[in-house]
Amino acid sequence: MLNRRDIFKYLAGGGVGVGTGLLLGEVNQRPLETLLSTHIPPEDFSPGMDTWYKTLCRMCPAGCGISVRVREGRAKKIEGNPNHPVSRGGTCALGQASLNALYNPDRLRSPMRSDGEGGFVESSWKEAFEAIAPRLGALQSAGMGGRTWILTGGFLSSGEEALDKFREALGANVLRLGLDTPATELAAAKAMYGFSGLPHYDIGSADLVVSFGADFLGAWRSPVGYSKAYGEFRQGGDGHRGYLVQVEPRMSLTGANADEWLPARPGTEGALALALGAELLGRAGPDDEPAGWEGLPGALSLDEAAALADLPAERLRALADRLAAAKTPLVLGGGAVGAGANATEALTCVAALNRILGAAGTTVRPNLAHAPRFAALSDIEKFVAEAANGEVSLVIVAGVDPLHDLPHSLGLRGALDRTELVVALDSFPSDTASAADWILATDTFFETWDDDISLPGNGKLSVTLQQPVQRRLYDTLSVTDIVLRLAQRSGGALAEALPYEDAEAYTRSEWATAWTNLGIQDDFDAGFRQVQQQGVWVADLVEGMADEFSAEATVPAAPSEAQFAGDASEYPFVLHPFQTPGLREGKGARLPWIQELPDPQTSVAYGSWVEVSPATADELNLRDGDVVEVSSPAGTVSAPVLRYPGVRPDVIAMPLGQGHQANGRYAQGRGVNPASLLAAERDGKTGALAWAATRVALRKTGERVRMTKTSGVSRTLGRQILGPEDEH
Amino acid sequence: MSTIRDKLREYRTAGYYTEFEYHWTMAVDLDRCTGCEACVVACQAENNLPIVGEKRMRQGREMKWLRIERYWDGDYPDARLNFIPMLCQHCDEAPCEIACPVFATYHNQDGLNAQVYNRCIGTRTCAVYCPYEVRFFNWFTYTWDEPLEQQLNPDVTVREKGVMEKCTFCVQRINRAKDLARDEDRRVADGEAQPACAQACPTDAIVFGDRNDPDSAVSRKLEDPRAYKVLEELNTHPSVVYLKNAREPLAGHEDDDHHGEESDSHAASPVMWSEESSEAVA
Repeated sequence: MLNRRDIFKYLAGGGVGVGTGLLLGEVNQRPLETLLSTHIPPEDFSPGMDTWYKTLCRMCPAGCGISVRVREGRAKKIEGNPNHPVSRGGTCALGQASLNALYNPDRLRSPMRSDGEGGFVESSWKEAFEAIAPRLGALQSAGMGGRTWILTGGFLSSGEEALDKFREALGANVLRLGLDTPATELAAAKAMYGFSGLPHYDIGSADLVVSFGADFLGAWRSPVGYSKAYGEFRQGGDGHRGYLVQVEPRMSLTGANADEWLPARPGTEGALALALGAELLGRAGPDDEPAGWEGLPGALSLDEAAALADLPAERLRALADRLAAAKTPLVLGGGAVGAGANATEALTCVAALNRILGAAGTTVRPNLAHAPRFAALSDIEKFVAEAANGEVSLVIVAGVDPLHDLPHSLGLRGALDRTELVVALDSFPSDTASAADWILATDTFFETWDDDISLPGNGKLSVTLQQPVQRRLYDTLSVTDIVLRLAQRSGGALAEALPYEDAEAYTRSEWATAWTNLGIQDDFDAGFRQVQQQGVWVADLVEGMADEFSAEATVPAAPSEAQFAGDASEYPFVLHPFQTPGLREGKGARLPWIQELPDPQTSVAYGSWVEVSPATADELNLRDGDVVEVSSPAGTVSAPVLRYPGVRPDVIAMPLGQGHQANGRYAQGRGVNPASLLAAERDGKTGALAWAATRVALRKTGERVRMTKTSGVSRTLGRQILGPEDEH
Repeated sequence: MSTIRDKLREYRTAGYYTEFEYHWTMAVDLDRCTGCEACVVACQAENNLPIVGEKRMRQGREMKWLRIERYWDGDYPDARLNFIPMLCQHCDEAPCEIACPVFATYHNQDGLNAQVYNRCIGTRTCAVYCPYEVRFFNWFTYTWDEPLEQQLNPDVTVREKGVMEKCTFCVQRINRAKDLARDEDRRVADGEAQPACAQACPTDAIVFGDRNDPDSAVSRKLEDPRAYKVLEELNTHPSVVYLKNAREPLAGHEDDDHHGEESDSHAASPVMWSEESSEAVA
């Protein structure tokens, strides 16, 4: 697999095209007539005048480019960057609300030191570095860097690269954490396409999309990029209208927009995809030779698959007809399908369907041959075991909140408790940061330098530059700044590996290195200024950087039967945790605009709910607002019931993202966290965390609450609000 | 004698302006709209909408000039959810305008349904007259937890207790574009004035522009056979046009409109008890 460092080097052989497009410009807006004096304007603003800065949204790893409106030295509004090849001028709800992080009243304003009794006292950078750097230096000189663990996320940024150089120089361990990581999708893409990275799905030019669990319009991978493509898919200029089929046990935002929603039994999606593939192979003429396979051993017939998935057989036959007739079909898999005990096998069958359909190379396209390596469950278990044995001296948590986002049954809290020194780099007193000995207050992404390679991107190399749009509000530093300073103060190999003054110098140096490697003759300063104005640097993927389809792929095996934690007689329902477009895994909860944003499908705001099918709710005598106890082998939570027409009767769905124990006034103590219900299950092939493989039981508590829900009548009642009814 | 009363009558007549300088219009393509609510937050950010808090929100005092409405069709397993963004329709025959005793809401020269905050005395009549329920009353003077107030848009007034407010089609952006165009002695170009919702939309479902310009993107949308207006039968002549979702109707669910979800009955509209639907319920 490619190293991130190599990506710039590989570029040396190939051509580079800087993305062209509208240059909204830093100052192409004329000022309004103003009464304010402009006699002595401060350096970075003129009163009454807008300044627009192109930068990067860091709310999720999609890497969208944004344009920030700044007035009087304060960021005021986020807009999409029309130059950006992924987001193309669009934004999502979470990106729009990211200003709430910058101006959040509960942001950390200086480094904080634990008082040893659960509280924190304000400290200074001097004190913090004096406390931490000697410990690091001692570990380094004793050759005991392996007693350090770095917990971080999934960005492909210069900042992450600095952290990685730091780790390498120290000989430390790293855990790249997240609940919904693409680990199983990467394994399936490797098996079926021969890819080392994530495929580029060209939804915009598909005429049929069948998505097995991937909520690509809501919270999956790159929602803004996929939404842009979806607009073209539905009403593109050439008059065709794409047809969307969504297969999932609980109607996601994408399912709500689908032409057909097929509520397959959880865990059967892979077998379903394989059965469709076998059907299409059987229908193919002798000259077609789809995928070079003669048959799919172990595949079920459509009737058998229908019985297994609990779907009407005629719907599956109609779907097979559609797939056979489609000119540019595309099949996607993700979400809970990528998080079961048979996830990789299921996603491999989904990818196999693309090969059979001839989508590989048309609507499924090669992409950057690189992705972060996410921690498997065994890596996390190794960390927890070493911590339990007292073998962990230092943990550095960089901007992730695993104590909230990941299953509590993993025992991460206990592991941090048993670590000698826990240092959290965070802008907020998150659940994890609150368990640390030191919280080093970090900048928000509006205040510092970095960059990010968009994943899964657009089949090109799109590097988005992050630049400060305003001065720091508080005494904070960026993660990169902190890493650089810790390295300098620790001396030795650490100091040699990271000889940079600050994040700006380091980021510029990374880009300058790329410039040199590319053999660009132009003046770097001028070129970098141009990137600052455009916000993004786009280059074609040259040979060696791009993934290539393997000529042949092994015939996919029938997926093993899905296993779930918990006995079906004791825990009759499968728990389906899902991300909402605003809250995601929990990052949105601290933002008041997101708390106050009604969930798209249910209109619930400010809290958690338990989605129960109306049929099941009738059986258990549950009305909206009845509080139920949801219990799994791993834990118990209580939340109000919402009768949701789009969920299977044998499935209970719960939104992720709430239930923070800390994280500021907007998040703390609000709702419940389904992560506390999740058992430590794993995908059989990759060992990745299977967060959709837990069964639960429901118990009515008798308590009843009124939910914060904005929606009124949920039917149109003949009012033709959705348009005049067609003649019958 | 041209009395004040005559002037008043003329002014109160809907369509006081017989010709609009610009006729700002919005087209929302429901086949593109996914209900993701990026527009809702963009509107909140642009227009200084307050954070009302959980308690007020539960009391129905949410302040969202633009919201996503959701309507279910059918039942499991053939359930289907439909989204429609709802905002001030800037009606050319606006019921709210003829209701206001102090002319705080009026139709301006661009066809916008404008609200003059410092004329408003808070009778809330306009909100009662509005069939789209898109007017919001400030029952309180909302505050921002420091330093959240630093994100406020300096181009938009922060409203106080006792004032009615609603979508303005981002009039501050329109005025900025007009200002610029006037300085350059030209008309505002198509796409130059974009409300925050249209700018944010990740599926390009919202198109905004001048209906007086036959070549504008929005004028072309109006010719789409899917175009319709919500509650058109009330003759409000909305300036927001929707393009119907092109999904095939759900088979076998023609009677859906005649039964409501019980759980939502607390907010039932009087329409629910029309003769037709009570028959269906009985």
